[in-house]
Amino acid sequence: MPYLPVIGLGAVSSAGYGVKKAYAAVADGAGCLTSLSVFDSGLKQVPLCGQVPEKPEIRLGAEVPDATTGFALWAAKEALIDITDLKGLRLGVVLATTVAGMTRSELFFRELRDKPEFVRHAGVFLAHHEPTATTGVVARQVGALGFHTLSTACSTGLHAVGMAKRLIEQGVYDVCLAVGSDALSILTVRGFASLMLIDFDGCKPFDKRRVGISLGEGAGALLLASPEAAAKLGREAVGYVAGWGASADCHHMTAPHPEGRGARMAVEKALAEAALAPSDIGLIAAHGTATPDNDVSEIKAMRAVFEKLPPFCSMKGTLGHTLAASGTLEAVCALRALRDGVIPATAGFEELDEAIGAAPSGRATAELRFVLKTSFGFGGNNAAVVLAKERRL
Amino acid sequence: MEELIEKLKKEIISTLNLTDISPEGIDIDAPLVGEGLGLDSIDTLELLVLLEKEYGVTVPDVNVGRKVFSSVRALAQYIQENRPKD
Amino acid sequence: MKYLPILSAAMVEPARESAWADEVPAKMKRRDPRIWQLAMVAANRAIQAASVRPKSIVAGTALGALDETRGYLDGVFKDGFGSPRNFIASVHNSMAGKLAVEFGIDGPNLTVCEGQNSFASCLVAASVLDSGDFPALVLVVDENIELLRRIVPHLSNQCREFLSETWSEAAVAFVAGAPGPKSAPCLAALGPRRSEGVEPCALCAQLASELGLDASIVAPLSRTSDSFVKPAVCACERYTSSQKGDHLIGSYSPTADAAALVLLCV
Repeated sequence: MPYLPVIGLGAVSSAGYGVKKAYAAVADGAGCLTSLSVFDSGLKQVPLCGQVPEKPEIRLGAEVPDATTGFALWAAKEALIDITDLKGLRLGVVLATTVAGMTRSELFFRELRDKPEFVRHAGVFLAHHEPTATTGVVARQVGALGFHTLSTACSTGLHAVGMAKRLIEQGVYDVCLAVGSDALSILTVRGFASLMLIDFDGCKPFDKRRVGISLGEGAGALLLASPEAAAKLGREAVGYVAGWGASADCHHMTAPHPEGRGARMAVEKALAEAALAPSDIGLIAAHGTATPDNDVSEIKAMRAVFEKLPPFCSMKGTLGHTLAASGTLEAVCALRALRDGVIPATAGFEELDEAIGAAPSGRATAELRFVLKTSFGFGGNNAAVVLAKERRL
Repeated sequence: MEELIEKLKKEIISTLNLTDISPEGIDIDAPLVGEGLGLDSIDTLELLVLLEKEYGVTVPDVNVGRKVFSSVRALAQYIQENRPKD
Repeated sequence: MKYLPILSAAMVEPARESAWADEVPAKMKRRDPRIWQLAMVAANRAIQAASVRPKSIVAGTALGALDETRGYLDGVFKDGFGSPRNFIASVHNSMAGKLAVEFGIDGPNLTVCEGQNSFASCLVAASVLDSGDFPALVLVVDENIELLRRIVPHLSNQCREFLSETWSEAAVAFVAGAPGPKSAPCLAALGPRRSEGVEPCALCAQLASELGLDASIVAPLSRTSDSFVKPAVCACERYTSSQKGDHLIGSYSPTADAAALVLLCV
């Protein structure tokens, strides 16, 4: 199967609005994590998070039902920039989210707890609670024909990319947006804290001293198209999606399989679809959440696939862990790195962990033809996508 | 100490919804996780919440945690040693 | 058009089976969310009936474990302590993750959240999987909890038209084979499709004609779409009672303003 063109990119992140800002920050390993201020989380210690510096309604110049929808919308529009006429082509949207309108719903639940009569306001607060409502808004604003809403936490973004690819290949759509978006919420900040998975001082991916994640927020969007659709729209490809692999660990709800069994399967499937050997991969844009478990089992899994471990990086020290957005947002940055032959730095890493036995490579230049992007999520859910610089081998 | 152990047993049962176990049925020297009471790692997180909420006690890291959750008696001892003096 | 052969179907409707929880494994009964338990029983019934182990899971839910989410937040807002187990339940795909663990299903694991269109959206998601990932467990579940019954009367008129107060709660599971040509019994789906101002029934009729089928056999939306799980319940009932023929089951989500269509061939 020929690789599928990506003809547009969009990003909202801790670095600001736009792909340019996100990529520049990631490439340099910039420190974009800041003390959580979008809301009072109620935690005694305030964690460092990847917060988007400006509200989406300001950048969009219009009201949005909630931040997740706002980020998704902005990123989608950036990916579609200069496409004012779809020329009869069928556009789809596959949206990935964990939080959706929860940032608004949780305020409703807070009031409802003490004041049962607050239920009167359900219509207003909960109108956009459902993830499908977020997708509906984006679909309407970009003029999409149809859409799908996925929610598999950390791995969702890459599943959205894979599903968008398949839907185009099956002829359901001619062009399809894969957009992942999640806003910081009390639910997720407190939730990950209660699982003892947060590093309040800023995550240290693959580092010996790592203790947990830094949550982030934002959105990443990739506009995929059939080659015919790309030509009709007069858009050059900025990269290609070559393969998608998905699997489940069958191990534990919040910790990965210690040998990274499922992770390995997902990567091997993606490579197989791309018709590539592991040695073709020039860079792994890793999941690298900086939890004690993830980073070690992730590299273990990669060693089982790669005879020689390629250079790898984690973008989460700069962007934070943006949950469902992470797959798409990091894939967007990976595509830029692929174009420029850049191996991004890994913010937060300083000290090698002997148990991992490998360190992120640090900023470098290299001849890159293929990049592997991985996301390993909650509930042992694994996703891998192979990105290519050129259309075919 | 005995009083604390009895109180703890009831709290463990109610926090973790162990509907099929009675306080008398808990062996205070048996392991909590895996065998013994058969709790999982998410249950231990729930117990950490209980420790902090009821007794104002926190566990600094995984290694201390392992000792703390090695039995009900060990748990009670840890609380006794670390609870804030009023 | 991708048609998914049906290997088996099963359903749990608490309103009709007061003893359904007897089939829940003891360890799950203790701490796992009720919605997971419902999914577990339906999945187990379907897998037993199919006599094959599925290789992938595509799950759909409109609201997930809402009671647990509310419980988590209540804990946080009340005294600053939320239950970790409640948080895990609040992440929509953890249910499918649990099923993967319980049944040892290590292939693709997707969770779809599409409101009343969840069943249709699940079927489309399943149809993008590789043939090697089949049989697939396709499952839809939503609860009718006290919190929702309190909230529904205060939702918009349009929401209430498609979510009646007496709506059914259920878990519906299908074990499906790899997509192929149309051959009964099978399932296929179109959408969700944006309504663009077109009335839901008319949109479903449009989708039906895209499938080359007679629009007049679309089951009236209000009978199939007045709960999140109704489209799947409808499909399961017609399949298990061997009602021969093509059944078009429409659905509409007012919050997404989109409609979808499921085709069941028996």
